[in-house]
Amino acid sequence: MYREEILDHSKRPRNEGKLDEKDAKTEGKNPSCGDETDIYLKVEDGEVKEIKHETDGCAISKASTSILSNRLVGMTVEEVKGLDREWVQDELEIDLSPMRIKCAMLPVKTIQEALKED
Amino acid sequence: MALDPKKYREDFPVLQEESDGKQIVYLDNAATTHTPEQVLERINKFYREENSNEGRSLHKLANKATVAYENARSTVADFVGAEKDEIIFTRNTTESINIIAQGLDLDGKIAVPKMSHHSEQLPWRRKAEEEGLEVEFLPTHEGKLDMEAAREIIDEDTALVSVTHISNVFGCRNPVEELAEIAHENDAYIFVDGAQSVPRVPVDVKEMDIDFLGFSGHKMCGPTGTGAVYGKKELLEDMDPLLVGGGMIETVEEDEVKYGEVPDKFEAGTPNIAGAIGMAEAAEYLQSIGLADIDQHERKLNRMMIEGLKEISGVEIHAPEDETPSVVSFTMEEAHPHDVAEVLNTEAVAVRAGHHCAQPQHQELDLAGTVRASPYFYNTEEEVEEFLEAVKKVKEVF
Repeated sequence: MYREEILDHSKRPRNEGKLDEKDAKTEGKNPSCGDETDIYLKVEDGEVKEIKHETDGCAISKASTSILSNRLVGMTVEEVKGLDREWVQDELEIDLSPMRIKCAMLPVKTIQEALKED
Repeated sequence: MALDPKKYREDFPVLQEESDGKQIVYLDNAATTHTPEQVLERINKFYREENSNEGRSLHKLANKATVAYENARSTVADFVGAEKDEIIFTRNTTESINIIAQGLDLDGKIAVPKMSHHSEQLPWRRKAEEEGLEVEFLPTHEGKLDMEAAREIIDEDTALVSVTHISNVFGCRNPVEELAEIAHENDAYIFVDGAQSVPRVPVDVKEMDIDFLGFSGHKMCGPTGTGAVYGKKELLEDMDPLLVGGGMIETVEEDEVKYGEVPDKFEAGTPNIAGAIGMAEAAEYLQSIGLADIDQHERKLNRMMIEGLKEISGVEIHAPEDETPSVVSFTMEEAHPHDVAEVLNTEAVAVRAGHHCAQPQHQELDLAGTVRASPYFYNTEEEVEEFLEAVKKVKEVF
């Protein structure tokens, strides 16, 4: 599970930081791990343009948020809304137990929740 | 004489299982314990030879079920020093506490430990909110209940003191007798959450002079979905039940319902008959080993664990300094508690990681969670060594 890319992203998260107020900010929590993330999302013409985040949690939630903050850019809002556990697991290329999949799903759930509100 | 865990290990089928070719080192007993053959066989026997509803029908099988269920109540009552009619069977400690919180008439403040499990805390908090009562938290000082503060907080305006007997976070043992005295001096009731204590230390409700005690079957070698609550009979008699329905009435007329006697009044619907019988079998099993010996053995293992963990740099132990705790909670500088538990899992070592259903306590300590190792009488010194080796592996991975 802790392959090199995962450990690297968990220790040096990409796209860490904030975006302007006018861009959507959303918070997500995974109560089982105590993971917390603040995600800033820039959406234009129905497409994700930029993602920034501040994530505090286990290695899986941090790595997942970091990796997906790159991969979701360029996707349409509709595509992001349709992402599921299988997609996340495939992207991360790791096998996750039923409890840990929640950690990996944190960024996706948080972003999907934000897009629902739009 | 010291307890020999190897004598009991073969009673537990799950402990014989392997995970990826490694024998499981199960140190998550504060969450749930395993079930010995004796209990499994007793439940099996019930379904094969005695299965029927209890307390209702008059045929031979029903008589067997009724006798077995009521004997189970006597056994569980004996286990905690209560009278038979003072024991209500429940699904778990959570339900036990909800029954008392729902039914007990309170006119005053409720004192609850900051370290309490959500199951102990939330029923009282909801009651307070619904009835306009005040909740006061009894603070924690260095991994123990702050008794000095407790003495100040509990006063003549207090109506109920809830006490975590053994903390599932720090493993400390809170002075229940002393708190019972303080509560009663102030005409308050005392409720004891025995989820972690009843399985591992001798508990006697009369000696401790407590009003209520909640505990679970599955944390003491019984089946899941079982628990019990003790209450002083005169208090239970004055209380309304949480659930109403079949098997708990005296008479039902079109315009009036009279509830039955204690404890039937609190057990609406067909109970978990096989479960209660299994829980009683577990109580007898533990008694045959001896609760004082179980406690002594566990604390020996915990001392080993703490000494071993202190040798590993970057490990912080969250336990009282001056007593050997019943669970060992720790954090590691290098990794989040869930990542520690995950690495331990790959070494076939089972522990719990997280906030252990005590979020307010973790917020106060500014901790996302801890890793918790909780042994039982069937764990060995060799397993503690394996646990410590696995913790060292965490440092290699991260």
